[in-house]
Amino acid sequence: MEKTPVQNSSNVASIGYDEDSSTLEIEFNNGATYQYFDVPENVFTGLRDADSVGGYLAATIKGTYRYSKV
Amino acid sequence: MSSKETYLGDVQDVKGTTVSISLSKESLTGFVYIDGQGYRVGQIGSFVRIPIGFNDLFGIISQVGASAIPKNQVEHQSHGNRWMTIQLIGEGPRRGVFQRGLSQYPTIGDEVHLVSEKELKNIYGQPDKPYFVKLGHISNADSIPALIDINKLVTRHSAVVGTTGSGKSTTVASIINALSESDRYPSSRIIMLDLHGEYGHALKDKAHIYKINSDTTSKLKEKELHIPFWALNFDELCEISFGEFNNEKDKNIVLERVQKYKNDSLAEYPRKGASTDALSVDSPIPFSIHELWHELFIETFGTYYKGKGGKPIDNLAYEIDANGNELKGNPMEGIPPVFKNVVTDAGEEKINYLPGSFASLGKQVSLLGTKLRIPRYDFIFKPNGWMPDADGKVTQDLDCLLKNWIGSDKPVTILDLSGVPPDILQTTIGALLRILYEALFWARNLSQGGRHRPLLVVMEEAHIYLNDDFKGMASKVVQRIVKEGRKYGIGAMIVSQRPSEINPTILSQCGTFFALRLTNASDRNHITSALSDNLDGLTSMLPILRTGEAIILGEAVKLPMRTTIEAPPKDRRPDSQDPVVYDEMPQDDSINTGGWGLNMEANPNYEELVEAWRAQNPKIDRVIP
Repeated sequence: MEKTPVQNSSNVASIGYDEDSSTLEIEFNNGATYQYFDVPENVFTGLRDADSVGGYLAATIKGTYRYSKV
Repeated sequence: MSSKETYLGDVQDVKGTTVSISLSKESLTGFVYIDGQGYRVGQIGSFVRIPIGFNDLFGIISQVGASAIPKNQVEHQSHGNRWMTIQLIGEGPRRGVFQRGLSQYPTIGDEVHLVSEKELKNIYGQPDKPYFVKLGHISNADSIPALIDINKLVTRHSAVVGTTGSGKSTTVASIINALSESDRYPSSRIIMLDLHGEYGHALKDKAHIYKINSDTTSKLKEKELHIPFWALNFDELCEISFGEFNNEKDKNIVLERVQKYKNDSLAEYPRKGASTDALSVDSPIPFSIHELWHELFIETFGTYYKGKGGKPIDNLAYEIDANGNELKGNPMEGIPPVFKNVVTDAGEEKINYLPGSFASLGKQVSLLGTKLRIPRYDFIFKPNGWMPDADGKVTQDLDCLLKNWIGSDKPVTILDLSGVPPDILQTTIGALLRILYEALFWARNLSQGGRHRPLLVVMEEAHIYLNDDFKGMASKVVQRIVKEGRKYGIGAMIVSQRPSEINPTILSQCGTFFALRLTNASDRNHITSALSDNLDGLTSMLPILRTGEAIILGEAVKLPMRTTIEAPPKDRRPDSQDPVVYDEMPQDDSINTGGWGLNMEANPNYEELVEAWRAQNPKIDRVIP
């Protein structure tokens, strides 16, 4: 999956989204990568455009969508 | 006296290598300055020097205070806390090179001096010698590097022990990083048995990673791990495929068959070095275990038409499927033939079991059939290029396997065994190590053999497969490696958090110990008793070591040293972090995605959880490559 780097985030390195399967991929600064499943596209765009990616991730995605480490 | 400031006291009592010292009044201030640097007097584990003529004897402080008074002196000491016990460890000419061992003893009245940092440097170090690697620095002297002699480290074997969380994997990663530096050691050769897949990330630039169910798309470029079943010896093969036999007779039946299959295969495809005369059942010759199983299955469960002439085996009574085909099974896929039931009624065509069938082999044969079908066992029974055809033809021989493991372009090979079924883990590791050992043993005259390019085998979590059970295949092979490997260039590094569960013979053969924090008393005793040095004082420090701190002692170091191991850079650390229960970081900055502090998912998906379990693969289908 293609990911775009995130600038100025203390924890997230890059994010990517697969529309066909609604999968959000997040790579953290330490290289650990996770895929969140069944994430609506508007959540991804919200994350992408958020002022604080880490903050949006914590508020909207963590604890809401299921994921797998990849 | 020129060395007045380092003076501690006098020798009062010598018993073997244990020396009692009475401290002088002057040194009792507890703090002395030498060359402007302060030293605490009487720190357990620190060094003292006893000058004798042109030589200096060196010892380690093991006890200080009231209990260090010699027993017969107790009554005469009115103010008697000024005692210290030391263990002698070596000597050296003044300003010369330190050596282990003693040629003489101190006598009563000899002066005892503190060892300053300058002198310590002289004892510890020759950093310019290329066969020393630096792992960190001495704990109470930052300027002194902790140097390890790799000659001794590799051939005399070593053990890394420490409680979970004491920094064991990081220490191992540091050692391997230092040993595999390609500028210094372009031909270094290390193989790691990684039971939990911890090291791939830490050593990704230097290592090839072989793994069952490898993920070729991941950044680590994992490759598929194969251990061809025909490279195992007969005992290993039986353990893995048939399980226990009921009696010797059954075992002999299988043994003869395997021998015959190997013979036929060799006759068809001659291999250099092997001849049919010298062939044994243990020889690594490809043969088809699938055909063997199929044949045994027929002879165990087969029925035949009694009424027809000729041999019973030519008149097998296969069941017929809906299309009228005989259900002969498929050896390669592990599908067994289906036979008709026995018929003895008068007037019908009689069907009977084959005469002399191996009825008591039934369980073993069925078990092997299952294993041939289950994908988990494919790494051993369907090893890709090493998979023999029915007549024993293979596209790749063992040379490719060995070249991948110990002859690749990278110094380290990580065999990630996290996907090996637990019931055959011991045997698999045993087989794997034996293959390596035998290959290097017999190749001892060749440039790629063990004597000319030694191999270091790192065994992670060794207590799992090297426990006291002498029956274990792994335990047997490792015993052989630690006893004889030295001569043939195979060195073991045994890593464990539970040294008391490791076979004592194996542990006692380890020349070098990296002892990290060990809190459990039985583990500590086990280590203390395995050490060749008389160093109770040092090992008593084991429970209070800081994380990442190790006492290194044994052959690879001149002196036992308390070392702060230099951890690899953050992104090169092994992946053994504990799960986070509650994240200490605020969620906005955290790189953790789980923990008890997060909201509970509204609709937790346990189907995927079971999917991963059933597939025995942590990666579910839903994950996009």
